[in-house]
Amino acid sequence: MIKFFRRIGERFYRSRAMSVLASKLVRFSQKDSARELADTSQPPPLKLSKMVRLIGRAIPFMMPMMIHMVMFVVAGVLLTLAYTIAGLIFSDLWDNKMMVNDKLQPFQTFVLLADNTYLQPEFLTEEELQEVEDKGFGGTDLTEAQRKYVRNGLLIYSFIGVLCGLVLTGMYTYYPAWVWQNVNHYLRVAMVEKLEYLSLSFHQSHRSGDAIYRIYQDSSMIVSVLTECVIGPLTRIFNLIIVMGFLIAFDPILGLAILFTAVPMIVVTAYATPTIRRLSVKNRVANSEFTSRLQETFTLLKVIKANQMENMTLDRFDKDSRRALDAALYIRFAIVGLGLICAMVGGLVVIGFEYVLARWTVLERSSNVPSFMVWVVGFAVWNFALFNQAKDRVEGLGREGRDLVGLWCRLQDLFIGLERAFYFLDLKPLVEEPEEPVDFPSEVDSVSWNNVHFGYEDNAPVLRGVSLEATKGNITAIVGSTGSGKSTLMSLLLRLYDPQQGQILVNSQDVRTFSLESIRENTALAMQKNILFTGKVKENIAYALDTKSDEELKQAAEIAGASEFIEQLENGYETQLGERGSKLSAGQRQRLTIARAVIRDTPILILDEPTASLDAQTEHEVLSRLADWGKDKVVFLITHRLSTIRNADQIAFLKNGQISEIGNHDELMAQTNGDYRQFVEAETVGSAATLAE
Amino acid sequence: MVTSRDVDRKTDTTQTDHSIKSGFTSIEDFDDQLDLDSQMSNSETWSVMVRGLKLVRYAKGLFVAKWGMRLFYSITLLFFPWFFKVITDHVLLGTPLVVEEVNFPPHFEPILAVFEGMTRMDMMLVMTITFVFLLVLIGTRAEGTGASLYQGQDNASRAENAISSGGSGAGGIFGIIEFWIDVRLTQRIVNGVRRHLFSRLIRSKMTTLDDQRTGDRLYRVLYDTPMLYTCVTEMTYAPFFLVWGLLTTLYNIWFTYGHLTEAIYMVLCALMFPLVAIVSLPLSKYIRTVTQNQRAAGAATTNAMEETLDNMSAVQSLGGMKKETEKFAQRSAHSYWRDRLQIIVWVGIGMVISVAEWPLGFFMAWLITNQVIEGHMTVGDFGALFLMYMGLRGTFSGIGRVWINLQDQAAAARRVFYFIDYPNEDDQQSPEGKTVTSISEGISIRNVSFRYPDGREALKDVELDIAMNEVLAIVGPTGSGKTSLAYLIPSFIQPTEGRVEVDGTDLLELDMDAWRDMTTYVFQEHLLFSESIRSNLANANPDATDDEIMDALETAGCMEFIHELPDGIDTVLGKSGDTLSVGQQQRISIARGLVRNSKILILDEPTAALDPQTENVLVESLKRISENRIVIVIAHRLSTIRRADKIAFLEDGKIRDYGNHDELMANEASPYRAFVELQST
Ligand SMILES: Nc1ncnc2c1ncn2[C@@H]1O[C@H](COP(=O)(O)OP(=O)(O)O)[C@@H](O)[C@H]1O
Ligand SMILES: Nc1ncnc2c1ncn2[C@@H]1O[C@H](COP(=O)(O)OP(=O)(O)O)[C@@H](O)[C@H]1O
Ligand SMILES: [Mg+2]
Repeated sequence: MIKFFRRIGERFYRSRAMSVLASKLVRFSQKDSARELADTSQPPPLKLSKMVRLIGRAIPFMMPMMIHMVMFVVAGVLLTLAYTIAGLIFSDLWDNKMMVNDKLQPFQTFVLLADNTYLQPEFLTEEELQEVEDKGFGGTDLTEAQRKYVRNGLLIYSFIGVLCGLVLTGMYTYYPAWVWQNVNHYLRVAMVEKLEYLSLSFHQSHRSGDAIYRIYQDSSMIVSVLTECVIGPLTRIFNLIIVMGFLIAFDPILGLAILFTAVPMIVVTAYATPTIRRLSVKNRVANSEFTSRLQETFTLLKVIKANQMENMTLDRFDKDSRRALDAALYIRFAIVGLGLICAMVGGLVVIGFEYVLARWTVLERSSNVPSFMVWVVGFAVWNFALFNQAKDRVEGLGREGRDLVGLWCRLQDLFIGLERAFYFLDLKPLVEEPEEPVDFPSEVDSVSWNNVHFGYEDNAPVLRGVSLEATKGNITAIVGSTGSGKSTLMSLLLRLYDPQQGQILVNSQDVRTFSLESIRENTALAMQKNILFTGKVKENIAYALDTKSDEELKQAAEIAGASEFIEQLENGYETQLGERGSKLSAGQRQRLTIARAVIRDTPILILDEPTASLDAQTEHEVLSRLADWGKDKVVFLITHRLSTIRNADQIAFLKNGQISEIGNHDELMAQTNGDYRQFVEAETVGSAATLAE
Repeated sequence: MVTSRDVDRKTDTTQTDHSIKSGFTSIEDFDDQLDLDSQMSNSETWSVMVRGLKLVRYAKGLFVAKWGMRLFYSITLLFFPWFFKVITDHVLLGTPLVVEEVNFPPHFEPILAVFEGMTRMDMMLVMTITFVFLLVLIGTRAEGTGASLYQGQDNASRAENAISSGGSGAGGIFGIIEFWIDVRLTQRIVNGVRRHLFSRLIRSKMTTLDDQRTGDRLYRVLYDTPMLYTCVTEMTYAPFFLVWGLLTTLYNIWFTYGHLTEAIYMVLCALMFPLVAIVSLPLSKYIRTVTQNQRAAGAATTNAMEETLDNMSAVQSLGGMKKETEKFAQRSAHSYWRDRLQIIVWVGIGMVISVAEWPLGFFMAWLITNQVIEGHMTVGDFGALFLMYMGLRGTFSGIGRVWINLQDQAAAARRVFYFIDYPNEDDQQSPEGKTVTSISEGISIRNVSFRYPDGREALKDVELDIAMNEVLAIVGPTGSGKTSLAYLIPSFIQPTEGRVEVDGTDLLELDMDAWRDMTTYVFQEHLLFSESIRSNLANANPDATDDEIMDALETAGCMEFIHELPDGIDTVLGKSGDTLSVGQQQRISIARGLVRNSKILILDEPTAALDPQTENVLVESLKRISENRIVIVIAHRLSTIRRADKIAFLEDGKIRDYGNHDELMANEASPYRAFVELQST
């Protein structure tokens, strides 16, 4: 069906000279931007089935609000109906009766509490007629006083109508806003939640700005799903049918002739739809890229400053914002252009019919209004009021058709947005929660890696068969050159990634059988990058922990060697840190991250280069306290500092993705030409030279 | 309660939580550290509006074009009501058309002359043809051109439509042209102001950066700025066209119904509407407050989201996923609640105004229908007159509403202007700053003390001379002020007391950009762009040749791992460089510093994440390049420090020792010596 229309459309399109504009748009929409995200590089062919699927996907988020939706939809329909009927009667009373002084229909006298002197003679019995004439109200016309009475009645009714309208409008603004905000809220939260659980490899390759765009802009499309995808088209089509019914009732020719005008509208729309879809994708991608760029820029302002990149950054801003704005204009322009064509068609119909209707009115042609209706309204022949009614309907039809086309276009954009929003939700996290998680052991006796293979990308293995065991009460130092995979090894234990091969065991239980939360609750990691969060010192130390007493805070800070400087801060533990925990020196930040690991008091502790930014004295203090504190824990220590390594119970040397040597300092030093020994020698070159000088 | 699929939602935070519904009228501070006093007085509001108005400078031509087109279309509108009167009275109702006897305004009389003497249907035919013609040109009978897309119930998604808003009252060819111009006009103005804001933000002072939230910055640039466009429209052609409408209506009334006393009543009635609007005036404060809170709450939501997304490795490794989701959920719910508060306030104001307006409308209807019923007017007159009345009413109430309508915008605009005005580095530049292109002697730090804005004293009375061709090591315990001292040199911070001089000239007298061009600072944190390694370096020095880039990478020890990357130097890094190990990131940021090839190179703990071999290579090459340069290294490792020409030992913000390694070690009482000895144990 659509294909058929499209073919006709294409012919139509080629034959017209207006194609210049359209083809420009098409060409723009087909130009591919180099940096488009993989999932949106192709404009998704939106089949009807897919639209339905997307709506279905949105329903769970609307469920909690379903009752309210049904309520306001039903109330809306009833109210519209009531207002329409009231409007019809009102218009007859106002135009035909009060203005042109025809007498009233029976129902009309009833609502206006008017006696039978107001009634049209045909509704009166002989005696009543006589009675009315005796009172001096004969004939088919209302008197001046009667007209004023009718007018006053109408004014009172409309005053009531307006008052009700005000209250209803207020409610109708707040109530749906509440409902839809809730729905959007559910979706937004679901998206963020999903992102929290997607693995790090996803996050490292996805820009934060894109996620922000999806969570704000794309997800917001859900608020229009019910009204615009379901109710909108339905009511519009329902309206169309009603209006057609009216017109056919007024005169069948009218109705049929109007049906024909729908054809060109449908044809053009079918042809333009793919273009609009492509433009919509472009628009969303361009804007999300702009957001990403801004976000990245704002997190890197220090670098921009230090490297004098301000001008370049501004140039990029200009380029990206220009692209985003162009895309926004083009999709709107395409919709407007299509609307223009439909408006022309609709306008022609209106004008044409006005002429015909005027003619009928002049000729007082009899209308097709069923006779029983005559009880309610006086539309038996084409008269002034009927002309107005019919003209309004035809105009309404034109508008309705045009709106329907506009709606269709916007729907394309809506679905593309929805799809982008659900994209997150439909992703399967690489690191999956087990179906039935096992409880994490209350006592951890050993942690071991069993022939673990892992690579971030399939063809670039980082770990090639690592086997390592660490037991309670021992410190395991992991040594190796930069990039050898030390941090990677540790992140596998936390299940930030899963190994491609091999197992990681806690008390000989595979970590994949624990819930993600429980592993991470039972492992404390002081990361190499000292990432802190905006907030108070206190909140940073007790990050993600519910209840930690001040005592515990102090103790952890003490062990990490942080208490001294924290107490010197103006507000101590309550001091507010800056963006991303700034306003501290790097060494201070590092000690906070150590304190953050310590306070978690978990059976497993991982310190990834914990002392890189510390001076020797502080480092020495911190580490000796840590060694004390970690007596009954499994402790991993990644470091380059000899003084630290030396004291470890076990040293594992990581090289070429494998543990090449393992043992304590003395054992490893005993191996001439051993990797560890070479490492130690390189480290001491500096100091040795000093002494020689 | 929540029945959605389990995979979709685990956190159950609904908006029924009452804790979020606080603060109807009071300004609360959300995440803001700087922009705390957001309460505005009426006069401040007014000045913000006027400032918004001036934004028209970004698109003068389009603005004039838009105005002209609107005016032209308004003129054409002067004719249409009269066509309909002809249709009603003379075609449908068949009243004979005799020019002397009917009420039409003078400008319509030439057209009326055409109709005179025609049959009813001939008149209709002429009008029909005219309508068709006008339909194509200006869209008569199919008015209105506009295309906003669907949006959500929050500022962020509304902003998207706002920045590309525009349209035309007309249709047809004219309408579509006006639409284009109008959208471009909006975009130009908004983009102008958001670019300005952006350019100010990227030049924020180093100390300001800590107090600004990334999410908040995003929110202001992306979602607050679009509101400013309305300041321009609402204060320029909106009132103009209101007055225009008023004049034309008065003209119509005067020439057609001037003899009717009701016309006078009508004008009087209409004049009462400004009074109606005054009723709403005291409420403007509430709108502003509610909007401020709503936007601040939105920004706070963005902060929460942005921070968690950007630091997912920390969140996940600390098991903070649930907490972060809840935090976002809570803030999101709060910001939606703030949004609804705004709805409540607006609905309330709308009601107040309507309640005042409608009775007058009824009074008018009553007056005019009296005339019709008593036979003084035709039915068509009623239509025309009542329409005019409605027009008048719209005009007057529109003028009365200009102020109140702008409160939202003013509140958003304040947020934008706040950071445009916030002092930044551009303001520190002395206007006729000297440009230095070379350094002959060196840098001297004279008596410098420095306090951070929050009052913490980082440096006390520092005296230091750094000569050309020298490698200076800054040494000291953590938190002793090493970084702060180094920040003085590229003018990232300015001394609270004392001076920093280059060849005897105070840094404050130099052109800051030119001076920064001569310096390079490699930060302790390794901040990389999510771009290829090559462009990370090239961005820092667009003039660098490929060889220079390779050299820098080689020196910083990057080549060994770059060889193993799939695309080598063109490998695109992940978010903030996180697809490399931390040590690798650090080496690249060192290489980025080297490639700038500047006179002064400052490395802040460059070797923290490096293994000993790499470090040795790096330090050697630093010594090599120090020819005709100044190299400043902040370091803890003895092997690095030892090789420096001069060592400054810092403790508690004071320089406690200064000299070269051997000199200092020779002195028994030297604090530096004590420091070193600790290290060697
Ligand atoms: N997210 C990632 N994606 C791809 N490669 C990565 C990622 N993280 C680290 N790598 C690569 O894996 C190797 C090991 O990294 P890592 O374990 O961080 O080293 P280190 O031993 O310094 O801690 C490095 O070559 C690094 O480039
Ligand atoms: N942005 C800031 N605002 C307030 N205080 C700061 C800020 N940055 C650093 N400080 C404080 O100033 C002192 C010196 O810091 P810094 O120069 O970074 O030390 P170092 O580099 O020697 O470790 C520290 O006590 C630190 O807490
Ligand atoms: Mg590492």
